[in-house]
Amino acid sequence: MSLTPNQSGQKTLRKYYRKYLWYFLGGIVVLAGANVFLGMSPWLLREAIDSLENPSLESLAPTDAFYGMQHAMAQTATGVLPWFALAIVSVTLIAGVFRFFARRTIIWASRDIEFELRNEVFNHLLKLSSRFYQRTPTGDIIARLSNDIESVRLMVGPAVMQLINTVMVSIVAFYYMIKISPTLTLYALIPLPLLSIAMWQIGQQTHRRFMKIQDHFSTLSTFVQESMAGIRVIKAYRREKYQQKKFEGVNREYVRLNLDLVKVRALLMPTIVFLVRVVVLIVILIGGGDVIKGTITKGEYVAFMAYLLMLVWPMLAIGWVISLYQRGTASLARLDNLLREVPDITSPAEPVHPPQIAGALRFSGLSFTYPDSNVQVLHDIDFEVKPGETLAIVGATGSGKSTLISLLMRTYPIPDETIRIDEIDINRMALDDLRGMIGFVRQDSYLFSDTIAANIALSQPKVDMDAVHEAAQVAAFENEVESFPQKYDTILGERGITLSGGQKQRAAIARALLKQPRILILDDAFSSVDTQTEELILERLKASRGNITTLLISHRPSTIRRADRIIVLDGGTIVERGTHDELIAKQGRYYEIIRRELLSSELEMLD
Amino acid sequence: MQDFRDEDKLGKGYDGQLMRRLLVYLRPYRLYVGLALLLLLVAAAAQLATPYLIKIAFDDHIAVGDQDGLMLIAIQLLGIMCLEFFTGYGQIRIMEWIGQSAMFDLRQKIFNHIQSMHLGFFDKNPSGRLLTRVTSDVNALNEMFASGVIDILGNIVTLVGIITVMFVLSPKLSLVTFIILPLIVGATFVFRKRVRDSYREIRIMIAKLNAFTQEHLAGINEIQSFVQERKTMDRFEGVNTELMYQHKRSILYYAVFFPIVELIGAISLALIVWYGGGQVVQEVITFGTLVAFIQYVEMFYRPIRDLAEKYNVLQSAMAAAERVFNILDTKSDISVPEHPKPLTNFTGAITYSDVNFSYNKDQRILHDISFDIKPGEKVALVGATGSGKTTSVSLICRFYDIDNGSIKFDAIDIRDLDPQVVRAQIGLVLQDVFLFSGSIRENITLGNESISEEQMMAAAERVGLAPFVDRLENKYDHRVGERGGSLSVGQRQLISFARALAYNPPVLILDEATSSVDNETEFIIQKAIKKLFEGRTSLIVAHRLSTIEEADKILVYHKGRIVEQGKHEELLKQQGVYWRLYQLQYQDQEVTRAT
Repeated sequence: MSLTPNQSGQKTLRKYYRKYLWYFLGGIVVLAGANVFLGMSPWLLREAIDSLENPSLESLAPTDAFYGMQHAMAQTATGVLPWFALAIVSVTLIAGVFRFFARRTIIWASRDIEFELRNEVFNHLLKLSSRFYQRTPTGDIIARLSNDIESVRLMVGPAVMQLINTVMVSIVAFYYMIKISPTLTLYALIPLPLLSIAMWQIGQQTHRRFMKIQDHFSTLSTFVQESMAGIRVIKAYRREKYQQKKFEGVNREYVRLNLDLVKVRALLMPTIVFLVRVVVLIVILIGGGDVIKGTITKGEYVAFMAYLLMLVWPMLAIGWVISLYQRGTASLARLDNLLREVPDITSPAEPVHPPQIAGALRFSGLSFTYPDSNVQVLHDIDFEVKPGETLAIVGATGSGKSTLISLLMRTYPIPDETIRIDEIDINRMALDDLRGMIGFVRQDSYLFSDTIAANIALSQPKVDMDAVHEAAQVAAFENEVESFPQKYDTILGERGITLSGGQKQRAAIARALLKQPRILILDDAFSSVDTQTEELILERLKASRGNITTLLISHRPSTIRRADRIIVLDGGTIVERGTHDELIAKQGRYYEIIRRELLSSELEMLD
Repeated sequence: MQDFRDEDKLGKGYDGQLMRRLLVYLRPYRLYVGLALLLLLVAAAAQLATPYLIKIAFDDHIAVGDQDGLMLIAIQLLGIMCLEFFTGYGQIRIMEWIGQSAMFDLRQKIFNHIQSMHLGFFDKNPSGRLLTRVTSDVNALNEMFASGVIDILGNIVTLVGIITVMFVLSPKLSLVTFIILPLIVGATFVFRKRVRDSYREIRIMIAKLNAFTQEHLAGINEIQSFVQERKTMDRFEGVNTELMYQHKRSILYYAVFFPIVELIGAISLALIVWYGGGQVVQEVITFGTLVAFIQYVEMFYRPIRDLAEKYNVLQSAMAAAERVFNILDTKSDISVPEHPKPLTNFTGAITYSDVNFSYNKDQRILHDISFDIKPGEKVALVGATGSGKTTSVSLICRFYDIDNGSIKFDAIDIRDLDPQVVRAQIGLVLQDVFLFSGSIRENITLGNESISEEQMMAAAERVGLAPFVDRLENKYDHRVGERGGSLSVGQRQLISFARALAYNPPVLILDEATSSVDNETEFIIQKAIKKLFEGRTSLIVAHRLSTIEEADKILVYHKGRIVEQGKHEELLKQQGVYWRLYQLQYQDQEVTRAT
């Protein structure tokens, strides 16, 4: 991972750090408070233990005469013990309250940041154009929205909290340890560098071996994927056994690499435990000697051990923090790449807001090449459509029809002044205005898994049932919807009913009509609707929305001939234009297309 | 596209039956499991010995000022440390080995099972989902196999050990210390239940969020063309907010639980100080015992916390296990007869009688298909897209079972034969050539060792692939990528032709590619196709006029039925479906051929 994306990734986070600064500062304060109080507990233990010690008792012979006195001393010791006990519980309780607030601030803020970051990314995604979605698999985007954001959160939340905690624990524990015995502290720290060296070594080895596993994992995945994709060949040539044997090899290698990693990783915990024990050993030997010599008390000795144990886990957590940081920055870089994806289609800075749209279209000198390819799909397209006119575009598959009309929606960038609506360059209009005035129906329109009403009323802020009924009526969808048990509340898609192709197309037409567009684009929008219904819809359209400018692509001669004018595309060029009768009379490309369409519809009619 | 709703089996709890099924995979390694357990016991004992040694150090040496005795303790401790290190390391390695081995077995089993499934299974299950079963889902079981079971046992052993040692040292003090045991158990129980519920809610919200994202990114065109970005964003934010609330709820549980555990620990420490301190003064227990108690109590809480966490591991493993077993429990639709009939000296005669077929019950694809193919005959199937030609030939391979009617090889119903025997008679060349990542040789032989190098090369030679291969640096070792990236469409077709020839089957099924190639390649392909037909019964889903004209018989498919059959000239004269198809699809080829 190069440094640049990481740094710019941190920039993405900076505004969040700033916004939640008080949470983090508060977190530092409460973690400091928690550790100050937790640190008191071993010290209280020391006091309690030392109160049990009574040097005067030892020097006295345990005679009957003094037994009463000894008993009295014991009474005093046991008398103060409950107070120590209560104190231990109290400081832990106070520390606990602080700890509660540590999570309530830092982890809390990390969830807020996660929430806002996810919104930021999704909002950005909504602005990106087809070009982005064509080269980015949805699964990949979802992985970023879930996994990557989660690793970033682990970095800004738990990792930060753990880091602060380790610092605080260390300060407190070292303070008391040095207070007890600076020399003993020094001795106890001897294995610490060893521990870090061991951790670092293990970490390096683990990383290297882990990368190998990752590599092989993709080999394994590819093999499985291929074995599924090629299943017909495998079955036809009876290669199941061979594939299975081959998989066994891949599988075994995967296991071998994993066990290779285990060899190193298995050292981790035992090594940690071992080195911690070394510390204990040193303390027993040297600290024990100190107790015997009387340089430290038994209570101090026990408290020292307790401080050492307090240190162990926070120290070990440093390794965890580092790995969270590494994963977090890598994920942040991936998110940042997404956020830096510049939307290539945007509204101009100062858009022209046309007051009233008549619906006149003019294409002039439009040539188009898809980004990331070098094949020109449209050459020098020139034509115009008057307000309220219907223009049909015909041509073979791949002749550029769909590309041509989709450009009207600015799905891809186009040169200035090549497409105009009412003589205004569409590049100069606000995207919302432009897209708001056009009703676009694709052959395979996407419906959401929501109610039929909500799907049809997609363009409305609130579902207006009258409008939904009217649009469905024009789209000849009304009767069918009424026949569903739930009518317009029927849920579509995975969780509801599945509509047939024709029903989907009519729902999409109704949806586009409800938008009250000035321009209607029908891209093979009737392909799954039978001819009679198509005629019906076209009739109703004419009657209720006769003034809409319409562009349509169709294969049905009956539909095409209704158009006021027709253009014929071949290889991205307009080769013929005129009315149906003119073009038929010409006996050229159009004539040939219509003849074929008639033949195939004839074939379709045969039983 | 994966469906996220389906992927997330939500909040699957512990399931005894699933667990038993999973444990079956550990059975082959039960000796090693025993060994790991043994090492675990030793490690646990070593762990327990340390505070005890400290007690001895205090009571027998420090108390009497015996510095040398302290040295002795140190040496003993060193011994125990080494023992702990090696048993710990050994135990982890054995456990991981067991886990990896069990996963190897399971992964292999799923893969083998998937490979043995009927084709309809692959139509229903997208390959992405199946891949997840073999890879991620099996990996999710690792933690359970490798550490889950044994760790849980280990934690329990440690707990029992601590309690035992404490009781041996001082039953009274132990009783006092463990007064708070119900507290910790209760707290853990409440916490676990809350966290489990909250975890389930979170999983549901995540699934919802993923489903929402997937759906709205799939419909991004609609959102943008209907200018719905704002509304979509608001709805996304709504789901996202719910998820955040659920997360925050679980933060509160953790924020309360951990301090409570700490507090309970402090209470037991306080009890030890209070009651134990008094007992030290009264000389009922030694000072060393008191110190040991303090350390044992410290040790006591970690296994309890671990146990609560391990439960979550088990939970996610359960969800993965259920998905995996779902696959393993799906049986292949194609049944192998118990006593398959032998097929001796197959002549290549194929008979379809009244074959009806449907992929889904309510949608019949083929209606009453009947035809006879004599040995060595070449039959071309023609028809519009979706008329049932390809389906019809794929039935010969018994990829699917027919609804009724029969398909016979030399008067034997193919359902009475072993499917492997049926497929051995057929060379299948698909329209969309599939190449495996591997060498050209491997793609021709598909790893069949009974095909010699000479046979492989001869096949390549006959279809006209050899000149191309000879130009490559590594010849037949040249690697082709997934889907044959570096090769042209024509070259890939030639490889699939060579594959069919190398297997030299009595029956050839060719689904001709529609993709256009340059004239030179077209010429090579047409020649190769003629070679393929030589000396075998051939069924061709034809798109080339030349292939059709070459055929002994043409079957004309229309809407799932055979409507006309005969030879090219005869069919043209009928002026029916074929005549129209000819004008639509083949006439142009005649024109280009003429020029």
